[in-house]
Amino acid sequence: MTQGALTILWLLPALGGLAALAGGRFSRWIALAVSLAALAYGFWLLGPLRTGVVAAAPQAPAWAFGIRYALFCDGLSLSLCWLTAFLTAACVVASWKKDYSAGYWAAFLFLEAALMGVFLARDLFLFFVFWESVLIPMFFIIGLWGTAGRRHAAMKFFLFTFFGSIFLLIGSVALVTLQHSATGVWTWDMAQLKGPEGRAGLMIFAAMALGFAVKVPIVPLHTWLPDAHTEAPAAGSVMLAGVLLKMGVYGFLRVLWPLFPRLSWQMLPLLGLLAGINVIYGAFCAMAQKDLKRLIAYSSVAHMGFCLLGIVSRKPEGLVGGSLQLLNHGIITGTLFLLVGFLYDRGHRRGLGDYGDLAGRAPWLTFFFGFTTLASVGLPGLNGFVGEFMSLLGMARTWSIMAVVGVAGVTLAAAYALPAFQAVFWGAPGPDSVSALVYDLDAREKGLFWVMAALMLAIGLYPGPLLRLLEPCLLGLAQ
Amino acid sequence: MSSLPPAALLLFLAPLAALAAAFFIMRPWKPQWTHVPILISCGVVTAAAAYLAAMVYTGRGADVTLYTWMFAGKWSVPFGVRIDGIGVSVLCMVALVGALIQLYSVGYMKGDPGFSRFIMLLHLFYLSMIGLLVSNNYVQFYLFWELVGACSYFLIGFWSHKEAARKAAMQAFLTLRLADFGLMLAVLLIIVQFRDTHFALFHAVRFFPSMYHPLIGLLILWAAAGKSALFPLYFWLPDAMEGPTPVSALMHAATMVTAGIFLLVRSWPLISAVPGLPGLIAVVGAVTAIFAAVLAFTQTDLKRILAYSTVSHLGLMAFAVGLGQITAAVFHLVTHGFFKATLFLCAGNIAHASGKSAVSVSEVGGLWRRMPLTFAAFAIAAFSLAGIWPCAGFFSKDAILDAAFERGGWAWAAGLAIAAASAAYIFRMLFLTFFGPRPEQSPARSLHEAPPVMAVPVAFLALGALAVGWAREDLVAMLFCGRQSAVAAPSLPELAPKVAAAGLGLAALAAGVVFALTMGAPSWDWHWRRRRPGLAAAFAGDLGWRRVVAGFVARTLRVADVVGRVWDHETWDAAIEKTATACRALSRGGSAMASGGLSESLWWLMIGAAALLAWAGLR
Repeated sequence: MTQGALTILWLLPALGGLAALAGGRFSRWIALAVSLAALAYGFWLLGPLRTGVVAAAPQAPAWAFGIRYALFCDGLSLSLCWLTAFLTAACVVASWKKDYSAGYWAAFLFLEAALMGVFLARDLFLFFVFWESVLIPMFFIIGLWGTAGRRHAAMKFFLFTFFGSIFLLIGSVALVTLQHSATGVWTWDMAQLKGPEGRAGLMIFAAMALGFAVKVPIVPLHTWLPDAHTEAPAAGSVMLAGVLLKMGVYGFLRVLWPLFPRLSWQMLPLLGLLAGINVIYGAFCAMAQKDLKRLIAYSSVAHMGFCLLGIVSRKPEGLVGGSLQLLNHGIITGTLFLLVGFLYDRGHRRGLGDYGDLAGRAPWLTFFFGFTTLASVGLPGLNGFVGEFMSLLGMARTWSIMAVVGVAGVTLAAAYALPAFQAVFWGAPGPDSVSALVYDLDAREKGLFWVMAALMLAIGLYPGPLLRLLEPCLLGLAQ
Repeated sequence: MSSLPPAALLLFLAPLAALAAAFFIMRPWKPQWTHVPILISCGVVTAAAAYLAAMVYTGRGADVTLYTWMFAGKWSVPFGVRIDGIGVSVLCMVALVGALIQLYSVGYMKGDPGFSRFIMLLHLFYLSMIGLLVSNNYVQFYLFWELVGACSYFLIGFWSHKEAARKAAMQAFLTLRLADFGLMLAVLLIIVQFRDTHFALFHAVRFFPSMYHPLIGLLILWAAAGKSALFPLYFWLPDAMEGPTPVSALMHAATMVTAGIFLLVRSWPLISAVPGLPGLIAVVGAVTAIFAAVLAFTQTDLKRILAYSTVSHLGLMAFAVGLGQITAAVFHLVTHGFFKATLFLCAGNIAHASGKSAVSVSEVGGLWRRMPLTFAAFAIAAFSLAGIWPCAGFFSKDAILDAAFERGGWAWAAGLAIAAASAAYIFRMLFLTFFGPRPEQSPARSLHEAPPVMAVPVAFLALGALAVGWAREDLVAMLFCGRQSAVAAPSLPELAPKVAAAGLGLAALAAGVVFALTMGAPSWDWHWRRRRPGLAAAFAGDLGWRRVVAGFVARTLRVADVVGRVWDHETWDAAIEKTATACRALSRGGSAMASGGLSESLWWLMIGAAALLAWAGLR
């Protein structure tokens, strides 16, 4: 019964995707209706979750090798499902006026379904299947509807992340086989699997961590990200940065930490160092960019570093803050990519030097971009701060040097975000500026951003409900 | 915990309601009336502040948690309100001075296309500062601290078509962020150490020796140095003059730079527990005060002189904090707010009358006849700044000089040097602008007095600059009412005739010398600039410090270029892209083998068989 309740959450967008594929000119309406319905249904699930019905889902009969169709939901899963559904709906609204074919709308629904599956899966095999099926709609979204270099970017994205997935698969298979040879029971259930000790455990941990690290992405495995984010259509970038990157961190939290409680804690120096590098490296790379979308893409690398700092610290503050930062980054960077998308729709350029003085020409675009930039640089009172601060606090309690690095990253964030804001929205347009083409946001676009801005402000000032949702499922991971 | 006084809620609700009304109703409907809800809110806030002051004066403070902002595990951060003597005494000044400046800016910015945006930003700035003053814990303090910085960014860069304004805004924000690095880290360390961020915490905690405390203290000093423009992070403040004049007035007098000193005062229990740290603060303050006063003496732009003067006075306040006289520091902070706001608004009157955003002392002269009210207000404020009886500045400066005298030695010398130097630069400005005109200056013919909406606030502020010091006893009493600090700050010393005489004498001497230098013939002030252009350039570049800062920025950008472009894109990513090329080359090699030709296949077969045989033979 409750298993069925969770199935609806991913099956609804999947069926919606099929309908949209067949829907012809109604497909965008189908996409809108289905994504909103999935969002509403996701919110409704909060009730059963509170009463504890959903979390303890019963087992379906096993297929071969102990593979089961088993779903599972707690605060972390549900909040990420909300994020997925919300950003999908936002993407549909944002690309409403585009004359894309039915496949475009269907691809977003399929993507939503696969992502929901990743966040809901309890069976490791099922998790991997959903994990991989995310790649397919994303590949088409980048490759078919992206900008000039889309085919190269799509191929790079696919191969790079597939490379990581292979390690994830090898790790999972080795894990399950070892457990079978030790206990004689085939199981892929994440709650029953236990990572082996010793050398084998280390190898499996490394393989699976590599798979997740590509997705996060952890430097130096990040180079698929700038290309994919830049060449994808605006809505594609939103889903990439907003949700796909979260899969990696979710994998660490959901799979690696519970499987290897001791080993993952012993890995703190390495993982913490990598997280710190992510923050600083992403910030410096972002400072060097001349392309607005690439800049935001690199800022994502830095922001994911904050999430990692939080979850690696293994303190309640850090775990909750890092998870909250997943949602915050999805909202903030999603909004930034949507804004850049609208800018690109008008001026057909992305360079920092291609615009200038938009503040007078498009005041609402300027207002929302400025607002979101402030959220992105971690201005307290907006949502980015809450997650960053709690993550850094967790790290300060575990390994204070890395917290210092993280705080330096907060400082550097202003050094790449504000110059970009100034170059586009203030100042004198250059000789070949396309500022003259830019007109202000219309009612649909404004409405979308009001929702985003309200969320940023609400989570920034009153994160209590989300913290309460996330806290119980993460406290068990604290060291 | 006492109950929350409704007036404290008004401090937040009135500005928020006014901003909402201005943004959603006035701006789309009648943008030229945006100031109406804002000014009403200013009045409400000022009244609420006065009420709270009376409440604290009668010994009833408040410290109330409104809700839990962040929490996880056993840790949480409240969002609350703290009404105590230190906060409320600054709050009164900020509320009143800020309200008058906003009234002034209605006249100053009238007709500007960005009028409604400006007035709303100004009010948000005001709200942030008020929130900072009534915060009850460090994290919430940090919220408003950052919000103040963000508002100042948009206000300094308000005229974004001017390149200098854009640069100044960026420089200000990035410098402040560099300082915030210190505050955020300090807050994190405080939580790690004490598991709590409440200000009341420091009254309960016994400070045991730990390596963290000096570190936290130093980080707080760093943060305060950034916000309050102390050496070495002061440089953003003079450049921030690029914003409209009311912004400068608000930033310098009420809402921005005082935050750093306030942070030092708030953290005094912790700072005083770290041996050597107060001494360091005193040295930083003294160096800043003297350095900036010398620079102020050599500047020509009206607003820049005042900006360096603010830096100098902030140094003086830090000096007082370092000497342990936090009462004197808060007192000087309050009087400084009044006289500096007056000076800035007078400079704004002159700029407004001449239709330019920047006016130089070497351009105008003899203004006292054209703008008598501005002259009178400026003169009162200048006397106050120079510390001349009976103006407000005399009392606060004298208290600091007293502390310096008691410390003796270098502190006393520094105190006297600051007293003489500040009198020198402000009288130079007064003489050059309002007396004369000198033959070098163009006669100011078209200038006229400011309209009433601008003149009235200036008059009120000048009154404050004159009279606030008379309420010295009450202010000191208030500081220690309500929820006072556990480490009792010393109350103000009695007026010592010897110290007062020394300060007054030096100020008068400086005024006389400056009169001879500026008004004598030929005027030395033009003379040295023409004779020694190298020296003038050195002073304009802050004696080389600006070059150091520029070098630091350039180096950071170079690192970013090397990391982001040379390494990440051209080396690492290129290497990864090469793997695709390598695979293709391999596959081409492989497919060349599978050509389908019979003889070639036979050759491969033979080579393979030979290899197998060889392998078998070797085994």
